[in-house]
Amino acid sequence: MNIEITGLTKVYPNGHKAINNVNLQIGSGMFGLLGPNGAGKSSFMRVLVTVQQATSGTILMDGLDINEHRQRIRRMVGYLPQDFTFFSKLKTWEFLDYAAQLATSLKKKDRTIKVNKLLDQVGLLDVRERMANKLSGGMKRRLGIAQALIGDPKLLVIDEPTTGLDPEERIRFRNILSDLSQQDVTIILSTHIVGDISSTCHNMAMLNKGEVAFKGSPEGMIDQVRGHVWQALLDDEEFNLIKTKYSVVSTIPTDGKWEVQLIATEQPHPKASHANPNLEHAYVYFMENELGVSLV
Amino acid sequence: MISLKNILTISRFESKVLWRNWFFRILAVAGIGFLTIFNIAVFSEADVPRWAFLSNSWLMPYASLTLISIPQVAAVIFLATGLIKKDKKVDTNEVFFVRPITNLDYVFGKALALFKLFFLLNLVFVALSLAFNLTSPYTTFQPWAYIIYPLLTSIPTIVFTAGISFLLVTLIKNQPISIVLLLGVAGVELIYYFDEFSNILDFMAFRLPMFISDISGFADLEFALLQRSFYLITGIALLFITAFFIDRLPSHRSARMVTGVLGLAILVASSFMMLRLYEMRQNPIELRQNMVALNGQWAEVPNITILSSAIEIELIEDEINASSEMLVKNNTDEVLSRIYFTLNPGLKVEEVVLNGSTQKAHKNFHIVSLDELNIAPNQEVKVLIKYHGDILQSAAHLEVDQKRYEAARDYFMFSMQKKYSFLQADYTLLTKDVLWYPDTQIGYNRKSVTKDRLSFPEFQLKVTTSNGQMAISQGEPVINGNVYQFKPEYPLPQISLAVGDYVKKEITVDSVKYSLYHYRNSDFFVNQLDQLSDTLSYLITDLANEYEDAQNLSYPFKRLQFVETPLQFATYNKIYESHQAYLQPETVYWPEKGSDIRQFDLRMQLRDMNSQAKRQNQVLTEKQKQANVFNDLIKKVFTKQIGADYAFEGLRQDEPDYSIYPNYYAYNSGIVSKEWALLNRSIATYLQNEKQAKADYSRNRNGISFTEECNNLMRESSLNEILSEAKFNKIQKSVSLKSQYLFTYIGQLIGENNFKDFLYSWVNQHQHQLTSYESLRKAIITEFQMDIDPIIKKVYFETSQPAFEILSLQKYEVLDGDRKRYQVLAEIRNSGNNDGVIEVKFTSGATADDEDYYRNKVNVTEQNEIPAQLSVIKKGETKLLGFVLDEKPDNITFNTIISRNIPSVITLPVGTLSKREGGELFEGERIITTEKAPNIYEIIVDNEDSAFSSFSPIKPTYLKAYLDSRKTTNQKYYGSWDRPFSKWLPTTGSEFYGTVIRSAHFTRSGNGEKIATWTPDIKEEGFYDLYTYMQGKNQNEFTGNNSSNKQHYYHFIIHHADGEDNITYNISNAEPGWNFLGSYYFNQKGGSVSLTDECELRTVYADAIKWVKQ
Repeated sequence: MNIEITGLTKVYPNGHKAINNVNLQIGSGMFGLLGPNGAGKSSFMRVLVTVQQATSGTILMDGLDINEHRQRIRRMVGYLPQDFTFFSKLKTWEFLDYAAQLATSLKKKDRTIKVNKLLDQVGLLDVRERMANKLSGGMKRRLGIAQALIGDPKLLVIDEPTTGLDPEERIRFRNILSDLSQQDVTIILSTHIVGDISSTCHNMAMLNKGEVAFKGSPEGMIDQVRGHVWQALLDDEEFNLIKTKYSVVSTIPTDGKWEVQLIATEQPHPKASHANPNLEHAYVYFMENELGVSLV
Repeated sequence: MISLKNILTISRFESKVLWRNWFFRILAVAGIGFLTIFNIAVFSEADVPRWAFLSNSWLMPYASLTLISIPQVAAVIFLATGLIKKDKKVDTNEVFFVRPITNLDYVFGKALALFKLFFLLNLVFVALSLAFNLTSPYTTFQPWAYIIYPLLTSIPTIVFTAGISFLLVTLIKNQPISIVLLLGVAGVELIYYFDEFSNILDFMAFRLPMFISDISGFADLEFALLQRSFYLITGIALLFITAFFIDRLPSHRSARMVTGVLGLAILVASSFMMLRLYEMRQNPIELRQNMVALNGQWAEVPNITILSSAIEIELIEDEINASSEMLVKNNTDEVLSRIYFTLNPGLKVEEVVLNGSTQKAHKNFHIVSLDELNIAPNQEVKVLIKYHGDILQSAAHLEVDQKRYEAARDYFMFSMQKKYSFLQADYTLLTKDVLWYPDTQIGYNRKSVTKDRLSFPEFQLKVTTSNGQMAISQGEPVINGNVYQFKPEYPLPQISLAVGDYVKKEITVDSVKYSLYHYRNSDFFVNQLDQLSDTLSYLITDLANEYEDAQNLSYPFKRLQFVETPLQFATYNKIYESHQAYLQPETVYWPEKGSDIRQFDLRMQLRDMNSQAKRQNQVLTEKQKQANVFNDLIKKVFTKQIGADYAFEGLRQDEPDYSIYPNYYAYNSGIVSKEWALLNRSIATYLQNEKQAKADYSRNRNGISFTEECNNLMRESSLNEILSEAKFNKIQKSVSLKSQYLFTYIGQLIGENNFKDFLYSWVNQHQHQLTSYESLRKAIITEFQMDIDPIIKKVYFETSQPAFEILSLQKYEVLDGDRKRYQVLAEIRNSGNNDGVIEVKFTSGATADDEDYYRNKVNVTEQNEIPAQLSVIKKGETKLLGFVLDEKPDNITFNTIISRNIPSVITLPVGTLSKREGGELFEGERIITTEKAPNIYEIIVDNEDSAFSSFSPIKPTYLKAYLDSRKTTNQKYYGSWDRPFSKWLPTTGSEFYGTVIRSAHFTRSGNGEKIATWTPDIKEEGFYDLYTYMQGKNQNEFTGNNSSNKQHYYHFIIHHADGEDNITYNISNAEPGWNFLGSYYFNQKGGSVSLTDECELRTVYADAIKWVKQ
């Protein structure tokens, strides 16, 4: 699916401008949306899945204006919000079946097959009879992704999917997404956890205060920070001094000293040497240097 | 825009969620449990169910659904608001909103989920009824009831309630506030608009009349259907509007617009229904107003009198095609250029032929007038009027004001639609009230309320029925196929017609044909009274003799027919007529299957008869029991020779009356007076000799009896003012009190028996015709040399009333040779400002034992009553009345009829009689001229006196204070059922001390804080004996308490010259009247007696204290 977003703006009735003149082109595969809390990611995604209406701007999905073809768009979309409560009194499979009936026109038999298949895919087949709201956090996320996938969507919009998941669940979740991205599906993933994007997305955008601060590939973003990431083994006194001057990305206590990674445009300390940058470094660098947001 | 598949999907899952909701499950279980208990208690054979509950085949599901309607509305409000509210929280179900569903799908899906569950629940309710219906051997089964009632009651209610709940919670976005508002709406409807506006606003169908008769079906199907459709359709419109306003899913603008427009369009459609409903309610009201106004215009216009009328009528579906050929006569002194007839406004006049030539007639509402005539005095003319059309039943009973006309007729918890006539394919019932044949009498109008002429034409009726229906009217029918011809033997004031699927049972006794017409499936009495067939004629003879002995009039017709009529057939009491339309000449219209009249509940009556026989150690055969039950039915319902056990006078103004008395007087005779329009009714009331209710509880409710309320009213207003302004029940009572007063007064002046005999023979000599007041007056002058005219004038116009004081009552048991006789001497003074009539009655015989008191009694003859004696006591006069009795009297009753007395009927126990040997017995009355000097050695302080005071430091409860603040009447006395908690309040009764007003103060017993005090004005110091006036032992507690030997006490505080004494006075041994408290020294400084509210019994009475100087 090809999504063309032009001049998208969303102003809430209280005057808060959640999205401001966003222009983006999103193609197939996984697309990461990075940004701090309150950057406008959720609003952007809600507009994208037609749950909310934009104040101005257009979104064309495969050439279809989503304002004009809501029903058709909704048929192509799967959406997993950041946080949602399940029906208190529906079983896991019923919940999925409910979504399936609304999203597809499958007959009961085929629907059951599909529901079970998806439950199996997300590892919930064993708990299919359990009430959906009695599932653990990770299971709920997986059930969430299952319901988003049930209509074979061409566009999958996932808002903060890994928040609150333990590492094992998170890895499992990423793997599910990776598998999906192999198919002809556009996946838009919003997160403030950099690791989620670096491990899965080929394209990304960074939102800040409703505006696009960066768009391109994760590598492109990392390239911008290359040469500005340093590492050094410092004692207490040196560490305390450097902490106040530079953005320290990580500190690992080693043999009574501190192994420190930090971002700086020039060598911050004689002991410091260049380190290999990753997306997290790029994110910090970007936020601090380009946008002037103090993260540390 | 709307997808059925989506709606069904949403509803399927949402209903699953709702079904798993504990709130719903608890409600469902509670509802089912409640209805199960209800069905067991009311319909099952666990106890003998009332016949009235079982007799109507439609009633069972209707009762259940009506009962559940209010709680169901509350449940729908709670669940519906919750269903929509859920989505207020962001993200809750957004995963579903991205699905291709519209707001409309969503709202309808949710609504459907709710409907599904509640419809299912109602199905269970109805199934429950069905189970009880099918398993009970005595119920009648009507399968359609189980389909029609859910459709008409629950479904529109649920849809409307869900619609309005959805919309409100969507707009307000707050579930608790929405619930409070919605429950408020329901509450306002139930409290403020209960039974108002023909129940148009009754969205829960709790009181909308939808009772179905087994004879005539729905009373007003169109109205009920329209009202229910309005709520159903409005509910759907509100769902559309909810979808328009709900801000869950941004829809395409056009989709939203279409939703809104559709909602609005449906709302507009439903508004038209509401307009039509309003019109259906308003049209009859306007018609009635117009007719009353028109009557006013015509009332004074002279007209011809009908001598004979031959009516031909053909019933075609719900219309009639009819003609009336009349012989009319100009009985006036002038040449009439214009004559007129009355005919129901729904009927259209086709042709009028006068003496063979066609005349132009003008019809305005119910008046058909013919102009440009020339009818000389005494000239007779033949008039033929051909007409057709339907009957507007709202044209009946114009005298009844709008409030009374629209008032609901309660039938158990239902409101029953009132119908005054029926004209439908399967059933017809027409009485004169709906003007179904041409007449010349102008009905009620405001200008001259008294214009109500009477005539006794000779009728003939020819009815063509269809579908093999039977026609019933006055006279012996001659049947030829489906043509029934009736020719009553005598002139009648009116005729009536009933046509339906009747079955006739007939017996001739003493040359009167008694026939019973019942509907085909209404033969419930056949099994219950199966052994009476060979004794029926004897029973009837006895009943007829008993009645005619009581009335002193003989039955003037050749037949008496009892015709079953639909439950909805309703009539009213009238001011100028003493009968209701249930009574027609030769005919009694008894209600379908006996309605809720206890005496028709033969099975219950037989059960009571059994236990009554057992209690009285009687061995009765089945036949005797059935005979008793039959007699009880006839005597309590039709001949009124056994009075009802109790009554609340004044509470209900249009209680059905099936007494056959109108056949003896109103349909047989009549005295016409231009001046005294009430006279005919007064004579009817005076001659009617039927038993009154044994007890009237209006005093227990209101503090004074209804008669006294009317006496108070008659002191303030003239009869004419009362006639035009008072509430109907007060008009009726005042008129009958005035009648009683008038004739007992005249009777006393010329001899009671002579006067009654004269009137009876007057009626018997003038059967089947009217006589004029003038001729009656002249006859009385000839017979008794007395002109009644000034007396009538005086009685009707005067407002001043007598007041009677019973100065002394002496009772002796006298040995007259070896014969024991009883002498009672009563000295009575009339201290009021008008002459008065007092009726003195004695009763003897054992009073019913306590245990028996509350039981239903079958065919038990009245307490032995010694004929009453009347006496006129003129203003300012004191009379000694002497009575000599052969039987020991137990009670003496003074009925003051119209007076200032409270109670107006004083009943005193005769108590112990002093023995006397020999001496002269005094019977009769004499005037006492020597006034007794007041006894200065005896001081009585009554609670009515200013020397009586009460004190209460207790605040009323908030609820009581609120309720009191809402009372608009300034009530002086309070009934014993209003037992005050925080105050001493006055109440009245024969058992209390007083001269003209017998009253006492009473309060709920407490811990001694509330105090009543009597402070005497002591003129001479010395030792005084103190007495307190008591009702007797246990002071009016429930009789059941008598059996225990518990002692109860009052606490008196005596403030005397030597200080203060607290007395604990044992009231369990008190005698009715004065009881000795003790002797104390009092001086001029005064002193007092106080009574505290401390008592183990629930009520404490403070009445009067007497000081007697030693």
